[in-house]
Amino acid sequence: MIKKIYIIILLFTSAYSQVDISNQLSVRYGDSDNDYNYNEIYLDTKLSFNRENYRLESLLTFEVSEPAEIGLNAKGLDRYLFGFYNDKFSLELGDIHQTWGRGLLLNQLDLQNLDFHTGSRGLGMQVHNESSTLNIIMGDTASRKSTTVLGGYDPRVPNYFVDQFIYGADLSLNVLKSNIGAAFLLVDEKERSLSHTLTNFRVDRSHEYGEFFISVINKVSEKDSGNLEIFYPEKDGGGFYISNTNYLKKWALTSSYRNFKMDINDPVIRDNIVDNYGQALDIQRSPSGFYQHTFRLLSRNSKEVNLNDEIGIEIQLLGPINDNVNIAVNYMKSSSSKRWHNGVEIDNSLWYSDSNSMPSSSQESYPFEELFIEVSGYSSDGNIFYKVGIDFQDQVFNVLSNSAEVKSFEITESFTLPFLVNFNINPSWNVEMQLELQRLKTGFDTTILSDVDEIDDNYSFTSLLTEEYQENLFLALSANYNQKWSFNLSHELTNSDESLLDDGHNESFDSSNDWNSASIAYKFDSDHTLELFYGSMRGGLDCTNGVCRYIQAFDDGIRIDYSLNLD
Amino acid sequence: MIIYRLFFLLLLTGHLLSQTNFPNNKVQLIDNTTTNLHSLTSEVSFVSFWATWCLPCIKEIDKLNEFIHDYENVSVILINEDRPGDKAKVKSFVRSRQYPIDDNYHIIFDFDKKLSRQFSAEPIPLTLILKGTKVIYRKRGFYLGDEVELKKQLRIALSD
Repeated sequence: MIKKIYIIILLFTSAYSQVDISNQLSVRYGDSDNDYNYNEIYLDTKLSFNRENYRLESLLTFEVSEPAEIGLNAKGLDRYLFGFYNDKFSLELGDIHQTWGRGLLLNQLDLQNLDFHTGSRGLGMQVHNESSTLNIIMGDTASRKSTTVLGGYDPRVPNYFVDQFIYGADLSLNVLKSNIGAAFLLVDEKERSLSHTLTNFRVDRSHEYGEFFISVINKVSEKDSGNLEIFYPEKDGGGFYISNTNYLKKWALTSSYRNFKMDINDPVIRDNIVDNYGQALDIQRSPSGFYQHTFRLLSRNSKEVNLNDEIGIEIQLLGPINDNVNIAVNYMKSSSSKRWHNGVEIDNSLWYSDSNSMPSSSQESYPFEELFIEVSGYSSDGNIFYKVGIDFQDQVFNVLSNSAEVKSFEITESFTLPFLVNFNINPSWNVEMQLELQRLKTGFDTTILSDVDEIDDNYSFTSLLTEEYQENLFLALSANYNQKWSFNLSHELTNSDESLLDDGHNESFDSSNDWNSASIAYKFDSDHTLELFYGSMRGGLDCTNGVCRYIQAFDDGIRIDYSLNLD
Repeated sequence: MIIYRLFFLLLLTGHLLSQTNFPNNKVQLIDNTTTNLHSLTSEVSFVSFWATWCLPCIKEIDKLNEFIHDYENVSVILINEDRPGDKAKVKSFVRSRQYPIDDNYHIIFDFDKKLSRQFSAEPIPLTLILKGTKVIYRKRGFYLGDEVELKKQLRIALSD
């Protein structure tokens, strides 16, 4: 069917000779000692028929993945989109991705590297004029995740699937130098007999010395118990986000405050994404709230904003020190909206809470705090670029106990020094070095409280690693010759054995503490590349656009990447 | 087997008939106004997909800013690929770096990734040079020194 449609479009558009065709082919292969193997072929093909007043377009993505690097195997047409566009109206059928405002209600992502797709298969429409824009969406959304809550956990293959039907509209108006938006979205989940209703209101105002933005959201989730005599209460959550930017000559200061309370749950069930039916949806994203690190070690420590229960602030100062040097100072602090403590004496399994209105530093509030300072610039002749930073992070991941007898928290503290320098030696050679040093502490802070005045409280720290402090080093060297050849070496080292994270039998975890790799890439032309990789890559958290996923290690293997653009 | 045949058919037609015009999408500029892409182009246009977290992108723009005003009749269109939630950060970044925004130098947002998908822009930076609205040069990635090639391509485009 799709083939027929494609051929009809091809013939129709070719007849008019105003057709644009482009293809992007990507072939990926990987084979490692720890069975991190994959074979993937992607072909994106685009057809566009351009007339003076309108444009017809089709985007088709074919995928053959057996097995996929991350996600499910696929063979055939993976995605498609047919669209009609003109000055005032657009209509799309197929796999639609829309973003309303800054994404607090709807921000549909397509992150292939994390197997995170929240687009909808259905219909999307946009009507716009000079002062307003109306977006309408209706379609099926299928998201998938890997979770330890269910059996059969595999970091590369999802074991939890959520199918939803979504429909709604978003209207934004330009009024008095402000953009005002309002939206509603209805979401039905047949499998779990769930329905969600989301509403959003936002104002975006720019002025001479900066800008101001506020977004408010409400979410109601209802679950039908069917014939069972189980009572599922209606979950009514919400939140808001405020950001303000001020320009001071060449400097810019951005500060934000967020208060999200979509679905607040006690520490025992807080992370259960399967049973907590009131939780924020995958199609929702917080406007900012974290720093997207590009350095390797820092990226593994990235923070993902928790829309269900989080209060946070973020402050960023950017500016030039002189004509060649820029500085960025970022400070982030957040916590849950509650301070949790469990019952005393007989029943320690019941949890009680007090509210926070500002981010708290107390351990029972899941605090997170980060300070990142970065300086970047060029030498006076412009041939050397450098970037150097310093980062401090403290976080409580888990509240295990906070009773009158025992306080126990899972914590992480890190201190990281990243450095990068790039030399343009001559018109043919360009060389880059990246070095990162990190000191990391991760484990359990436990205090057994004494009820006798003469006896001190008993504090202990139990590391999750073989050392109390993990020392990490990442070094990468790369050379580029004549814009054709690229040579890369990387070395990563840690002083502690990470196999303790596991029972030693699961190959998803890497038991080594040394990862080396070499790769060579050749550019046939400006967008036609072949890359060969040999070696190992350390596993860990991989974060893109505020979405994080654990990626397993790649042990002693080869990777081949080939990409070709046919424009 | 059918899939492989379809692959081959698409590749062949793409190779024989391939050409790309810059689409006339409705886009949002950094000052929150909206316009059509074609209204931002000139005789020759330099287009780059970029983000504040993309180091090669920033280096490319820094180098571009050093020489672009020597070229008359060249428009610059920088298509931002940051998250919609980072709009304020993008504006702060552009302001503090003093990107020379004027009638020929534009920064637009691609929050719904429509343009990114149309050009298979990932991984960024992806750089395009347009003659009118036709894409005549395409380059992925940037290393210091690559600006020599970009200048050469701009000169070729202007002299054609």
